[in-house]
Amino acid sequence: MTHCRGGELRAYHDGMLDDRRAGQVRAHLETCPRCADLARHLQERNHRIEVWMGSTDPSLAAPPVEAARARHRFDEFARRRKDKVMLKNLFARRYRAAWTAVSVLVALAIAFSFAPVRALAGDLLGLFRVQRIQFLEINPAQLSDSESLEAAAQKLEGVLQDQVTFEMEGEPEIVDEATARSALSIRLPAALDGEPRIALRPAMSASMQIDLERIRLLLSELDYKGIELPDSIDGADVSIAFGQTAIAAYGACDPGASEWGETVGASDDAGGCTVFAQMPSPSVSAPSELDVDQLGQAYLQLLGLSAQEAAQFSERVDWATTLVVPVPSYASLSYADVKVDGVVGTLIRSPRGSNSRNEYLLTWVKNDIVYALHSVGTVSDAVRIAESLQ
Amino acid sequence: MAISSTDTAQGAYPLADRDAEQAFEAAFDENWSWVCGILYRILWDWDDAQDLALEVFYRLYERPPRDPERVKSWLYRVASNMGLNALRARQRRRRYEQDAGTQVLQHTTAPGPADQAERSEAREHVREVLAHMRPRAAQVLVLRHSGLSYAEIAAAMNVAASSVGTLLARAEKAFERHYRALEGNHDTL
Repeated sequence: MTHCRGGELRAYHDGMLDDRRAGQVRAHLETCPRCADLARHLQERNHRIEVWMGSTDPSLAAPPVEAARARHRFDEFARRRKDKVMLKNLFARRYRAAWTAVSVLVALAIAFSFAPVRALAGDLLGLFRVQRIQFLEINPAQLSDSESLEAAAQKLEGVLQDQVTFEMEGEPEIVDEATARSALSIRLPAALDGEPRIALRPAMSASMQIDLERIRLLLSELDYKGIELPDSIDGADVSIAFGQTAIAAYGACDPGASEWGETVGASDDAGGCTVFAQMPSPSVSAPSELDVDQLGQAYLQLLGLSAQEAAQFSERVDWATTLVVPVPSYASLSYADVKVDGVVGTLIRSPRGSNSRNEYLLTWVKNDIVYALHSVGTVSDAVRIAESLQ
Repeated sequence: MAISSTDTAQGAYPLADRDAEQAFEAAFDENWSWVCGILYRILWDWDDAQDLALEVFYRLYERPPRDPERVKSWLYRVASNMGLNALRARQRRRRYEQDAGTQVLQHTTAPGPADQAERSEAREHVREVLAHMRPRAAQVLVLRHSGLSYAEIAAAMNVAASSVGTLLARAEKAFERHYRALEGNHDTL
């Protein structure tokens, strides 16, 4: 028998080898002083660590509350948590799924094309800085498993959720205009009357360590066979940072909403509600050897585009600076480039005739700040409000 | 990515689905103490451990693993990940407060018998070391010392059972190195 490896000796010491293998190791240790030394060394170290770790033994303290009582607490906890949906404030309800999806997919797509090295923290660089938002209409029917985009996003979330770490720097708070202006350099539209109610959402970051095995499983669940993943990306770190977000609500937004996200969503029912949001451009950090174009195309293919369509779209997009937001085609929205605030933004409108209130969402990016204006009115109303920022 | 989309109407435990709800309750009752134990081992604070355990079960409630057989390993993984994340955040906050000159009780050595003080100090060291180790190394140690078998650890960490011994041996080596360094620093204070 060849010499024993440390891991095997460790398992032997814990009685975790099968009988046959344990017998072989035992016999070898009797004749091999080198392996016997190693085994003794590992065992002694294990004992020391057991003593140290033993200081954290829960049985040294009082037990937790009983499960039945804890379940009552859980019911209350779940009720409170239901309203807290990350990022839902930025856009109206109908775009939430798209934002969720894009966040999921960006993280996933990035995983696809790491260079074959396990990146050290020092090798990371800010790779993306969103300077432009581009909406991409996709037909969920094209998704390979015929599930809707929302369903696919949920599936992705389900698989990745426990691998992503979120950190929030502080708590959300509702403040008045003066406080908001002193806390961060926000701009507000002078063209809107009345005192806005402003919600500040803290900066947050999401980071994920790539678990290749799970991503492969996910791809196979999605019946996606187009991408080869190199083993070397396993364990690489990716992170996305969102800066502090300010959301200002004007007019008849639902005052009963417990969360500002709900206030934004409530604008569907309240014609007089205008919501204006701004946040620093999200940035993504990943190993520097990333093939951006390859991952961008992979991302599009995951959304249901063919390889050819993805390549064509990719030619027109600068992936390093553009956040591509997928919107299901069944929403029947119209899109237009609009000159606003000195840059080109995108105005999305509800379909003509289907919504007499002329709901719109205007987004643009200027000086590394993403702006979004959601209300009801004409194109010129939207531009007039956006041009009055100060 | 785990955007905390919490629309339980779309979750796998919708209230209308009585069977799924019962499955969740059963999973809760069966694993509550275990999950709390893992978190307590990391955080050494029952309030924090139980609050975080609620969060763990909320994630289970929202998006349970597809295979009901994997609930236990899913819980172990998520609990240890979240506990270690919370520990790292706490240690960072503590360092920040110390840097800022805030009065912080770094070694919350309770008055009492010497062995109690010693244990308290060891606990502080253990937490400090776990917060500094590579996440997966810290995770394998916590899971093993919480009493999981190699097979359970393998399922929780999505690795082959045959590699658990190697992961453990490496983790223990790293742990001891960090721990000794910490003891050295402390002794020279």
